[in-house]
Amino acid sequence: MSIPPSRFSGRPGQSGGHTVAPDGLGPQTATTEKVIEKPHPLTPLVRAWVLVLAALWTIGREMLNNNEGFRLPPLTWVTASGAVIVVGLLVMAYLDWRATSFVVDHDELRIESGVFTKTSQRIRFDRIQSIDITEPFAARLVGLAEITIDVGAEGGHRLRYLSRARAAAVRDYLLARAHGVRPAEVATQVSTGILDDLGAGEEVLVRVPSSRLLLGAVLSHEFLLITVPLLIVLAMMFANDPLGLSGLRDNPWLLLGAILPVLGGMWTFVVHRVIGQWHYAFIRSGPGLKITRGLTSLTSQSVPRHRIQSLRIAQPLWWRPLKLFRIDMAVLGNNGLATDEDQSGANSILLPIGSRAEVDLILRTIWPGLDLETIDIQPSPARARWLQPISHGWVGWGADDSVIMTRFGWLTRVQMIVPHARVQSLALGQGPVLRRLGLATVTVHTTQMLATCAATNIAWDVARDLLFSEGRRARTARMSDLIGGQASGPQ
Amino acid sequence: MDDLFAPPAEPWQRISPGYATVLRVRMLVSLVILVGITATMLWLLTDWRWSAGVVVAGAAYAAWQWVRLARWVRTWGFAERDEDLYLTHGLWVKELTVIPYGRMQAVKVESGPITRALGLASVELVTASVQSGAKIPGLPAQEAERLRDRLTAIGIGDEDGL
Repeated sequence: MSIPPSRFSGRPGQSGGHTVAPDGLGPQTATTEKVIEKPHPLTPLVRAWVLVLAALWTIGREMLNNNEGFRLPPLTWVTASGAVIVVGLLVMAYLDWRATSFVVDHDELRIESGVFTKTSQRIRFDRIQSIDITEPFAARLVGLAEITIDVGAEGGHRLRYLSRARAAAVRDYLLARAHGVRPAEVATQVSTGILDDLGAGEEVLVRVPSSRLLLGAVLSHEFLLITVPLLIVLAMMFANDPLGLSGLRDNPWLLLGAILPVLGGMWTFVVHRVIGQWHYAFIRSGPGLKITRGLTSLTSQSVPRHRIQSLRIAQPLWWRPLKLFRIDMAVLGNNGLATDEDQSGANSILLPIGSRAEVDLILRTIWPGLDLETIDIQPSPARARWLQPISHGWVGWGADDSVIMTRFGWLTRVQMIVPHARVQSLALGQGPVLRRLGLATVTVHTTQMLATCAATNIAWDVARDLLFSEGRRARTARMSDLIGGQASGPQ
Repeated sequence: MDDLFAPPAEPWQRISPGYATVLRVRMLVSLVILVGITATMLWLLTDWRWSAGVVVAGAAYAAWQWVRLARWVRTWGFAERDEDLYLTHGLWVKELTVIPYGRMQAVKVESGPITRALGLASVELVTASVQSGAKIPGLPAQEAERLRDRLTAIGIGDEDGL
């Protein structure tokens, strides 16, 4: 059976003078397996959307200002050159679009691009590490999406833009091929919604309601850092100076001028936190895992299990009574560590906010066989208390056959989990104070840092044992026997 | 507790005491530039006594560093084992690093103008982590080459850790 033409054929109406190679269509696909996908025709507009918007706005304003009815703005030097630039950029974007095509061949995907200098990027299916779909704001407005293919090297390859459904289809197809499925066997049913990227046969494991995102944002340290000073100032004003209050009543603009910016800051902060993670879903998709989230820009991001270098489970102070946690992950490859919460692109948040049960579920899904409860936590000795007066009861470390876990942090309680197979090197350190107390610190080095993973302030002989035993475990842990014996393959 | 930073079995291989000379030259050069500029500025702007004070302070710092650098160089040590390399250094803040050979991605041998003049070189084990910082400075050039060859022979780039 060939690939159904509906999946990977060029769009008949979109060629715009560009001829699609004849073997990309129809029954011949059965023999050549070669199919060609063009970017969506709206791509040039989306890529130059800021300019288009600016041009439209300028022209529209000029038109409205003309009381004599609709007329093009007067042809001044400025408007003329502006129009030339906009048109020129649009033409460039159009030419670029015409020159770009995505070709699926026997065992590779090729991205052909370039107007004057032709480039052809080849991506072998078996090198694909993960595939993400993002819908940046402008593209989302017109229903387009962008595919980012991570091959482990810097940057990743981008296919932009495809319609939402095609992007999902192409992604599923490429992932199936990357898993070694023959093209004829690739399942074809795909359905995606506006809020989700949920295909057939996929199962939502964790979903975070927006109300909880809001709660988490309001109870975060950053939010309190904005709010508390404001409340203190207000309280002082109202308590010490009733006259000042009346003065404010006479002159309410003063109050507005002082408070409105802060309120605005609070609002933007909360909205960004909530919108970036809007409709978060952790999804099991066949052999892989993925996360979808975002309101203005939708991201569908695959979770490359075997490329996770470390996990960080954090609990800010005010999440403690609610027993809520957040998980961040450090992934090798182009999913750099975006600590920026507002970034809705590829980012490192594995779970924005969730209960203990949800944390356990995600951990079990990612690393089957891992149970944090069974790890014996070794606390710091009592003489370390005055070095860590608040966090003393929390700080500690533990290790089982597959991971080493350390706990630290006093305002935000943090647990760092690093699989032994991901430990690059280890260091034992001791400064003058620790030496006086007979303590030492063991630091675990990984390729990417969410935070330093260290067993701090532990007894020196324990530290020495840990250094050598963890070094032994790191040495023997290999790709093949990662946690749960998971297969290494693209996710 | 003295044996906290002792090697597991083998004795530490020390780096060349000549490396202290390299560090002393570097220290003196930067100090002379810094003190020179500060003293001149002070002389021109205020009083010669201020600049004299700066020179004396600089000289005292240099004398202290002169002694300390030699001691610091003596704290460096490494041990090549079958499966991993141990590395230690530090006077106040002591450190002992373990790098499994399986995590090595490259071995770098470096030698600057001063080190080369003294016949020394540094060997760095590059892992996928920027934190590792496994650099052995001040090895005699021959020893550095031997170490590089040995480490390369053990096998680099297994990508075990990735």
